[in-house]
Amino acid sequence: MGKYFGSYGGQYVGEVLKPALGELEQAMTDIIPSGEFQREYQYLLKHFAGRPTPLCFAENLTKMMGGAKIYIKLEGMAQTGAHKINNALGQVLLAKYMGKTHVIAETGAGQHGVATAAAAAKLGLECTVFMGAVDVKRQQPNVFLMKQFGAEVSTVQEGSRTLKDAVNAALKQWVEDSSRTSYVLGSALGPYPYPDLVRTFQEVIGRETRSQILEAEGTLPQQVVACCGGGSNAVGIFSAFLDDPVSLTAVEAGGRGTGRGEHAQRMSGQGEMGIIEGYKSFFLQDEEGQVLHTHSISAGLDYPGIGPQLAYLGETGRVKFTRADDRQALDAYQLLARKEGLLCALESAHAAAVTLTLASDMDKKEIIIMNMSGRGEKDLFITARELYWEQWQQFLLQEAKG
Amino acid sequence: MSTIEIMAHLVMGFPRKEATTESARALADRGVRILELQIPFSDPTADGPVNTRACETSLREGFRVAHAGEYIRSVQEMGFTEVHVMTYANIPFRFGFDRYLRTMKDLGVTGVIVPDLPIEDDEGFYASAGIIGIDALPVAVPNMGASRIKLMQGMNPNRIYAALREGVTGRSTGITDDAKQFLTSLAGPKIYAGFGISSAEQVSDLKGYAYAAVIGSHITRAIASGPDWYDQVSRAIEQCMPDT
Repeated sequence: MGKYFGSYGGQYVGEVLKPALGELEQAMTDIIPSGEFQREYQYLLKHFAGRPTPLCFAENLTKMMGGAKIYIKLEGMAQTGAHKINNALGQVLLAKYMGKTHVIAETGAGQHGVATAAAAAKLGLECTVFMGAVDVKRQQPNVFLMKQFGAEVSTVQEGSRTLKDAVNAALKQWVEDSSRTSYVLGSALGPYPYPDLVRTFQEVIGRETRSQILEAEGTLPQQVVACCGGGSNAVGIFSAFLDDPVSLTAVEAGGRGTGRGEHAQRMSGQGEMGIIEGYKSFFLQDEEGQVLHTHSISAGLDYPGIGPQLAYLGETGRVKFTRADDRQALDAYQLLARKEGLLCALESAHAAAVTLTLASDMDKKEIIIMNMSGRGEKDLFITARELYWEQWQQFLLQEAKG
Repeated sequence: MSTIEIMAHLVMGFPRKEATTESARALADRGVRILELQIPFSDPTADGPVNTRACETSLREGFRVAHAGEYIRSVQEMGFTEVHVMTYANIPFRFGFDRYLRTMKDLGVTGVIVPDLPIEDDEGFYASAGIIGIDALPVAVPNMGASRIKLMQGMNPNRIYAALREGVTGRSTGITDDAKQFLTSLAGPKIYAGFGISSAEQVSDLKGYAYAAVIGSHITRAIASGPDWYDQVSRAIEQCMPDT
């Protein structure tokens, strides 16, 4: 690949960041393909992260929808509960090979922070995670978990105090201290080489899925569906099918409405091209170029930008973008739990909602695969509030009293 | 060279329009001849907490990019010899790079600074500025390495913005021998050296190495300290003026 995907991507950063990004690019080219790195990385994926993750035939949902065979890639089975660990392990290991002793990361919902903290603990590096004050407040369970892994959680008070501000704060810290520190970015976006680096470590999702479906069915699927915030799980699973006659659908957060600030639809909504946070892509922004607030019930999809490779694949039509709203995601979450015994992360529940609709319109001989990028335990405080409020409130009050 | 200019940096509309005009007046009255105005952006990646919060406040209080022209015109009458405009790439990108450069030129702006348009990833911004006839100041940093300095010098800029400390704006910087050596390596264009300057001693130290010392966060902090913007900014800038 290269610096640009069509006209998207690039490295629009302050001159101060250029040397650190150059060093990372060099390490990506020199270290990652080496036998030594690959042996250690593959060992960690298998014996620490728990790969390969299963590809599960959803027999009950298939019968219920009466259309295509539905398969679910269970990325949520990986260590720390989501696909994020694939990239966190890869980048933290790379940092170690580069001779760094400290990693920093940004996190929104906390999943990438938890994965990076775990990887750093495993590999013996110090870890600082930047998190917006708003997110710290609403994601205390993940803050607690990061601290258990020995990470320092640095609360960001600037801007909207959410993910994008955590990214800015992490970049600034990196600039101050790049000789001993590596910045582990969590999604396939940001300045080059991050979109390439993150995709490289997430391609394992697609590779496994492809060989698992060939083994199970002897043929490729007609459809692959993934949810899409920054896009790392989507680009990870799609990457193995780009040259195949397989339809690829990315699902964005429809949130609670179509108005400004009510959703996070960059590609299937009102996103416009922009140059923000180091890369050119589609962003939710106003007429003058100021970044807009977003909303989704799932913190992982609640982001104003999208990875440049997905923006390009969307523009060329190779990946189709659609939406699922908060309500549809909650309904799909409950359906997967009841019919398949799977607790799906709310992010992945967006993909599930669209998968079920698509499956019912497909032929019984056809196959559709959805990526369950994460598992749902992390959302307990959101799902219980939405679906079980009275009892949950009583429980919380009782616990708070001690 | 035994003299040095001061370039004072103001975030437009922080905390509202009168603050910018009163501060600019205070600066002009104290003899500052070069002004840098920042158009607030929602994601100011190269700014420290002080100017980041100033951008936020300004936007929250209703600043619009469409107002930038009024701000520029209002300071033009105060007698500054140079007015520069700084902002982030997405603002001119959405406005149209060439249209932005022409508009700034028509407003009498001397130079434009866009820190997240580095050479090679600048979308032709520096070349267009040359054609349109306005200075676009590339940003130089001490850790950039000889090959990138050479690349920058190859563009023959009239002016360069030099960031003395590796990092973001707003923390104190000592003018070290390394910094002086770095500034010497940029020789040729007019150098506007900044980042973390808040004392007359620092400004004095830059004499002979830079054309102008940039005072940024120090002024923003003064503006934030209360409603008497004129007096606060006067005091802040006096702290940075060498005796001679």
